[in-house]
Amino acid sequence: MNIEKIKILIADDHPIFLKGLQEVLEDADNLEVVHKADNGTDAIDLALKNEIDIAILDIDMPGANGLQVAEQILAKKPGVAIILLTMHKAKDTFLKALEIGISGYVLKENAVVDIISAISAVNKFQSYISPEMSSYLLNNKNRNGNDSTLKLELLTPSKKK
Amino acid sequence: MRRMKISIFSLLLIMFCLPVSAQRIVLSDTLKKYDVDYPYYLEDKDASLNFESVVSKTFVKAEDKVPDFLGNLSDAIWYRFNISNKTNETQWFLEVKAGFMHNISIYQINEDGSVKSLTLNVNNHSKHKSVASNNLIFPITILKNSEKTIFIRSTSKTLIRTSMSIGTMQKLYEDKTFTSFGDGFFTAIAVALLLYNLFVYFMLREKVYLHYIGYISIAILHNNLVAGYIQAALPFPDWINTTTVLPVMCFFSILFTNSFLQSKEYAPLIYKFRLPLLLICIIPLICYALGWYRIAILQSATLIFMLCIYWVIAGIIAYRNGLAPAAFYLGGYGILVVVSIVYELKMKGLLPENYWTDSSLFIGVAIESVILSFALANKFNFYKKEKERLQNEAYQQATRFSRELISMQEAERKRIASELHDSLGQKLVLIKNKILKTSLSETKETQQLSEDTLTQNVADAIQEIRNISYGLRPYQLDLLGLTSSIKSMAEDSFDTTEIDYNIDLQNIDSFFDNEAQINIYRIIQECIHNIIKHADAKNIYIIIKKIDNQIKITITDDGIGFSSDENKMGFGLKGIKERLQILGGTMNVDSNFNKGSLFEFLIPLQ
Repeated sequence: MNIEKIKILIADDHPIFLKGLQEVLEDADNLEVVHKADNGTDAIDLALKNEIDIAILDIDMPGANGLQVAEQILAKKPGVAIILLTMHKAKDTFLKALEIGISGYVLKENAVVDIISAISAVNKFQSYISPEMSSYLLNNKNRNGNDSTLKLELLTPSKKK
Repeated sequence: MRRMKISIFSLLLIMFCLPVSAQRIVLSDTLKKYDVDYPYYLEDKDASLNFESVVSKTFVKAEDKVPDFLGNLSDAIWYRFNISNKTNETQWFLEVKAGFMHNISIYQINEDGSVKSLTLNVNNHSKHKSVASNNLIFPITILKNSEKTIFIRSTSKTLIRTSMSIGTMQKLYEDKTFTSFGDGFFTAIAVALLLYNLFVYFMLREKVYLHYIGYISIAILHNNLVAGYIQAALPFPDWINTTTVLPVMCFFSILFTNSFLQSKEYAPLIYKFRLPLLLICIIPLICYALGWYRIAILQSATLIFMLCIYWVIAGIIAYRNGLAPAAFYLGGYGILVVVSIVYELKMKGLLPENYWTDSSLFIGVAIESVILSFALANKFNFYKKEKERLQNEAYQQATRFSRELISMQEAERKRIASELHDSLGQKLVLIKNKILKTSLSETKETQQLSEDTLTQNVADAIQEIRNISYGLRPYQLDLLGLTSSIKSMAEDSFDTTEIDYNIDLQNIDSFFDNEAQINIYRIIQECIHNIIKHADAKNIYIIIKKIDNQIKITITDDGIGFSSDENKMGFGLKGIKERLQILGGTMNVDSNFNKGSLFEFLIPLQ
């Protein structure tokens, strides 16, 4: 078995969850957690200094939040795939993540089931959204029709400059 | 009492002498002082007469006990009287209470016709004087049972008021001790209060204290100049005299009157007159500079008379307009007016001459400075109390607000507690019971079924926690910035209602720090919350725009409106106001019944 393992960085400020996640990932043969971080700034440092394939980031972290970390990593290393792992089942956060250019959006509550599927999808250069998240988004249609997705530019004024 | 007797005695003497048409003073007691009252005088229009030419002229009797020749523009005044000695004492002294006078010459004609003359003036320093004193003192040697005729010539750059008396050195010395002590004592009181108020001025930096200091110090200077103390003690230039000092004193008294009585507010008429009066103060000084001494002193005297009226009227107007301390002011200046009248009455011979009338100006200024300084202290106290009251009020307001804040906090805790207990707690109880039930069930199918419902229950519990957490703190502020947070919050709020909304937001993320952001967010949230809860609106518009260097937030609805009575505002609106105050912003609320409402906030950029 000389297959090159997928190098993964995981970042979460909850140590128990971090440990659990590592165990889940390392149960799979082809995955290797090469770096762990418990805050945003460390995560950025580690991702930029070391060679990684995938970064799995919690959104709520001290230092820099997951969205900021993803933005920083993608700015320097666009080849790294980002999977956000989050408690936030919310449209606005999801849209922001989409805009940054992440590859996967996984709800923490379904992480054990979804994370492996997410990694394999991402590894094939596909995107992945937790099924529960997509059904939430589909059910939560904007009544007024002025859906936020249509006004994405409002969320990204910095890029209009 | 003794002095009064003397006065009456000399008065009788004069009456006795009348037919002879010459004043004759008979010295019969070495322990008595003989005043030269109602003196015979001669006007010397341009000060051109000499002693020889005066001897043959006719003198007229003065109508005042001590004439001041105010309004008489003659440059020199001559006096004439005879002295006859019935005692064994041959060395007598003529004392002229006129330290301020320019020049006084005395000519003594002995019975054998020989003449002895002596001239003293302000500029003579003590070593040139035969007796160094604040008064001008001329020695007169007169043998027992002999008679002398005395001629006196006075010129002055200020008032010609020659208050003359004759006595032995013992009598003069005894009287002088008493007067000097009194004058020194009352001057000291005024100076002490001057210093006290100077300290207060340094503490408060209030102009009124400076005006007080200016006024009282000039008043002290004036009294000591009139009494001749300053000229005797210091080499003072003679242009600092009654004529030049009085206008300056008037100047400061006008300033003090207006600042103490706050005339701009309490006596507008008095305030209007202050500038012309201040300008009038300069006129006597100009006349003096031009050498019109007699006109200058006439103007100074008129000015001070006008001011007496001004002071009293100012005090009365301010008091009537509700300025309580004006009573002190009236007291202070009233005393000054009274003592001035006393002094003048003494000079006219209507009041007896004694220490109290003689030094009435010293006493008056001392009392005035006490009363006014008491008034200033009162004012100082008033300021202090006012400050304390404001502090107390602010403190109480702060307490009230923190009490409301605490009760709000408690209500919030109660809400969270009940949410945790009633909804999340119940859900967890349900989950636990299901787990217990599942472990008891035998078949594989039922186990599978309950596992699915369990997962759903746990998912619900997670969602519950999410709702509670989102309600406590808008997670978007940290993740997405202020603009997106406001947008999401508005959309989420209105999506659960029947209200149509229109949101037009400019990006304002970079303009505010974290604290300001949460305040702006909460203000808008509170407005939206109120509209949903109370307005019964169909449409709502939210616009955020940057205009120049402030942010304008406009929230309008077409609901039932409300009465914008501030007294009835709830804690929500109060909270908005508090937050707005922290932001340094302003609020404009416009609402009419059934016409909807408009909230407009202007928040300056940081």
